[in-house]
Amino acid sequence: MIGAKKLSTIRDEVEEAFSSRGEDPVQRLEAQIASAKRKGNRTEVLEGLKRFLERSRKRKRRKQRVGARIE
Amino acid sequence: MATHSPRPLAPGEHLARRSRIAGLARQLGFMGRVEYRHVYSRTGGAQYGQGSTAGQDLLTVYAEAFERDANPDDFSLEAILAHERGHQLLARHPRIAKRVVGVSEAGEEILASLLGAMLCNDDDNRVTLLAKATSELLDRGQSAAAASRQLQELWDLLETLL
Repeated sequence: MIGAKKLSTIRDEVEEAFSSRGEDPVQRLEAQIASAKRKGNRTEVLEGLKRFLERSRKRKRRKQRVGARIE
Repeated sequence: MATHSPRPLAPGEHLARRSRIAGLARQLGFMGRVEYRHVYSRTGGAQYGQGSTAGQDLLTVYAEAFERDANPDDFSLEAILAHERGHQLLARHPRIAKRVVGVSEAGEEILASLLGAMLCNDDDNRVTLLAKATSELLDRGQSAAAASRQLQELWDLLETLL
């Protein structure tokens, strides 16, 4: 079962977890991806999470723009 | 969930939902029966039921799966079904099933999301299921770094077993 937790809640949790010390979570993920690649490690999960956060931000911005136009 | 019961379906809508689910389930490789129940459940939208053979397995999809699919801030129908197909693989895939004997319920949810992510054609759905698996580990008190490391190890393992 996928459970009742909304994707938007999951996004907030992931964003918060990857933004310790006020760091931007996408930038932090980029740094972790670069570091993992230097060590020869695979990065599917880190890269997937980065794309997830980037797309969520784009959607949020689009929503805000539409909201502002309606107002 | 906004109300206690789903809005009534227009004529033909039940069949259209059933066909959409059946098509997606087929694409994802689901074996067994597929049904649509126009009721709210406590599952999040769908549930995998293990039968005595793979052909008798049952995928039940509920009304909230379609409501979530219509919400751009929530899981798509494909992601929901891919997660359930992940459960079927955990139960039925010869190499995977052997490795997951005794795994906790929470562990199964994480693995089902990872397998679901591997099956999705659409990258949006893939990354939402990765985020779901990450959230499960964060809920269990893991740090972001530990969660992503563990998920990558599991991803590598599942990829070799699939």
